[in-house]
Amino acid sequence: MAEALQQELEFYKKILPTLSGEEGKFAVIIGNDLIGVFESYADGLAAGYARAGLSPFLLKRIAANEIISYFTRDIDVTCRT
Amino acid sequence: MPHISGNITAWGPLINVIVGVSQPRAAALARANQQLPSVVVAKLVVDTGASQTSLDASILQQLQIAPTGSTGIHTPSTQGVPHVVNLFDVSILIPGPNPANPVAHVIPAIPVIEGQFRAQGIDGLLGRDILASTRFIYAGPDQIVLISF
Repeated sequence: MAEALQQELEFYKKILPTLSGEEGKFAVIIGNDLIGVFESYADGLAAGYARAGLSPFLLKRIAANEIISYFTRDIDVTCRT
Repeated sequence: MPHISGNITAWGPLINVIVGVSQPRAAALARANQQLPSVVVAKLVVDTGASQTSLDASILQQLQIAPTGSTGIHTPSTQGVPHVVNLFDVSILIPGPNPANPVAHVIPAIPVIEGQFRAQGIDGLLGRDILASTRFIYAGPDQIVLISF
């Protein structure tokens, strides 16, 4: 499951420089296709499911520098890197 | 303004929530004539030290969902190098205090991180992403927390 979105994530990194004016919005990517850029997480999620159905898609907040979440306790996650 | 209370326990402040697939995924399942997975009751620690809400992997498996995103995280173990983890979209319903007020708050779609919490006796962490839209009171002498939505 951790590898499910690898293609989409690589494509996102590739097109990130072209999305500089869209910082903070949400990109929906299926395979190597940018489906659209949306103002909110909810809008992007709805668009992703409308387009991909139950197939995989990536919903990514556009940020030049990756947004990091902080936890003061360990959560024992499966690391993808 | 709807509000709930939770007990302060050895794990920290605890509240029960009901986790289901996100509203857009529910719609996609309906379009595909597939059954909705049953919702799951989860015992979460209210954690102001968590940027984001996290759920035990077993809950995400019960909901039969795949990741729709990824993010970097720092924990005490990551030693300054962020780990990249999957994000899953779910809905979260927070029950109200009594039958006359059965639902205090509904989040139709929110990204959560997968973790391993069951060994700690909890099902996950309710993080600052949800607390950001609430008023949260830690009433230590009363051993309760109050959350208003």
